[in-house]
Amino acid sequence: MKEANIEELKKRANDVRIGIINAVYGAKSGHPGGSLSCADILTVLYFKEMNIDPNKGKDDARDRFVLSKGHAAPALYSTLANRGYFDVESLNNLRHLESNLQGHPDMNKIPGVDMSTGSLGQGLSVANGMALSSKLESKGIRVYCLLGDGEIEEGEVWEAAMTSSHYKLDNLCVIVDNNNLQIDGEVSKVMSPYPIDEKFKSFGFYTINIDGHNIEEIVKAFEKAKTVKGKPTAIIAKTIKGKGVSFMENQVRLARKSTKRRRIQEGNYRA
Amino acid sequence: MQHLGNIPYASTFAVFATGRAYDQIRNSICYPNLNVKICGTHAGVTVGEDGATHQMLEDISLMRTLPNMKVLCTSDDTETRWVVREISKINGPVYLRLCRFASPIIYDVNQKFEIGKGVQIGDGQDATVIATGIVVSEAIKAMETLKKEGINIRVVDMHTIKPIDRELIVKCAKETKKIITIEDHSIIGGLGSAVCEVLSEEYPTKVTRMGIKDTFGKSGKAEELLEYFKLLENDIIEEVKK
Repeated sequence: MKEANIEELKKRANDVRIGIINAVYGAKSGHPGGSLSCADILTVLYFKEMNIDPNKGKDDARDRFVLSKGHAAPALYSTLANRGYFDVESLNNLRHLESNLQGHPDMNKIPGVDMSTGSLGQGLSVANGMALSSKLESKGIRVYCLLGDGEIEEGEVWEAAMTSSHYKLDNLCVIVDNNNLQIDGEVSKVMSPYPIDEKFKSFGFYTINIDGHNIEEIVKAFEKAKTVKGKPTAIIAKTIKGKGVSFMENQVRLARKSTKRRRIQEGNYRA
Repeated sequence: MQHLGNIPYASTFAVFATGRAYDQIRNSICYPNLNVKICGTHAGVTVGEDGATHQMLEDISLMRTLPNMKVLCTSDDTETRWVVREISKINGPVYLRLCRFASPIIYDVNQKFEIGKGVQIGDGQDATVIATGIVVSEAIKAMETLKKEGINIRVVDMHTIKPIDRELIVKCAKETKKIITIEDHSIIGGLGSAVCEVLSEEYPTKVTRMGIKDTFGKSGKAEELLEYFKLLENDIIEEVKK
């Protein structure tokens, strides 16, 4: 595939958002808000940044992605489907009994998923293992791991962060989807993770703060991360939960609320 | 908190309450025998669409093996209201297993319960279905349907899985032709295993264990999953008739 330019990426991100809405609407459950907030990041990863090929799904030399915030499965599935790993139509069957699209990513059932996730806090540990293995074998594989800002309240994340810098995993890039909301409310009120950038910095990461919905900034951050040597990179992406759907933006309860049927049927959203 | 006299009730999804925190429960609650109550919600496949990662099928097994721990799993609103208060009277660790799926009310508000004593419903002699949690109501439905066909069974609501009601299990094994256990939990290590342990020691009896058969759950609606994993009235009826 020819490398996508910024305008193409914006269009792709829109397609990914439409897929998310269709999937969550079809499931009548799930997490649209936290999926929409990371749609632009996933689009850039899969349509530009990562060395992957849907026709060579399990190619050993491919870059890896770990969706540590596994509840954003609709975003990953929609990105993978739009990228050609499987049929976009199948998104409508998300979470159905007969579907392979489980509520949380299952690497054994879904083409393109590199790691089964869903129990928050564990993804960075797995990404560390992938990155370390690549370095030991000089494989040149880059590993990307998307964390939620509520998720980084989990202690395991910080044990893993220590490990990332201890082993100088400069082929590892962590992205924090900082939408500021978790299932019980604002992250700063539930168990504040702030300042996120300073925390990662003190754990030995090179940090970059960006607007997680600005495609150009996302692209540049990933480019920069590749030039950093001797330490892992953490991109703190300021995002908006429910981004792109007017009545979903910044809604806490969307954390678990499925899309409102009537408004979706009326096409009353701007994805 | 317990050190200073409060009784902590810690609650989250059963998968995190017992899985993620297992080491802490083992070494910092059960070993020092602290007065902590752990309420695991969203247990079993009936969590539904979230799928395998969030469907806890091993919590009874994990908690039951820990010394000092008592394990309870309730079947309806009345029993749950009783148990939440009742466990505060126990001085020591307790694990209470709850599910997410709305379940029918089985008991009248005046029903008397006792920790460690199963509730026997009916006195049929053809079979005993020992159930816990959300599937107790399915067992009762099966009992009523079978009665119309002239098959008389009894149901035991085993709300306390540890310490289990050994006396009642042995009595039912002696009085009925068949013992069937059913749970929205793995058949390994849960209610079924606990019943087998009692009977193999005290009154060797063939036991049929209904539950999740050494597999993870999957996404789907709670009702569909109960059907998929064969935990409904019809499945119990079929098992009784075998």
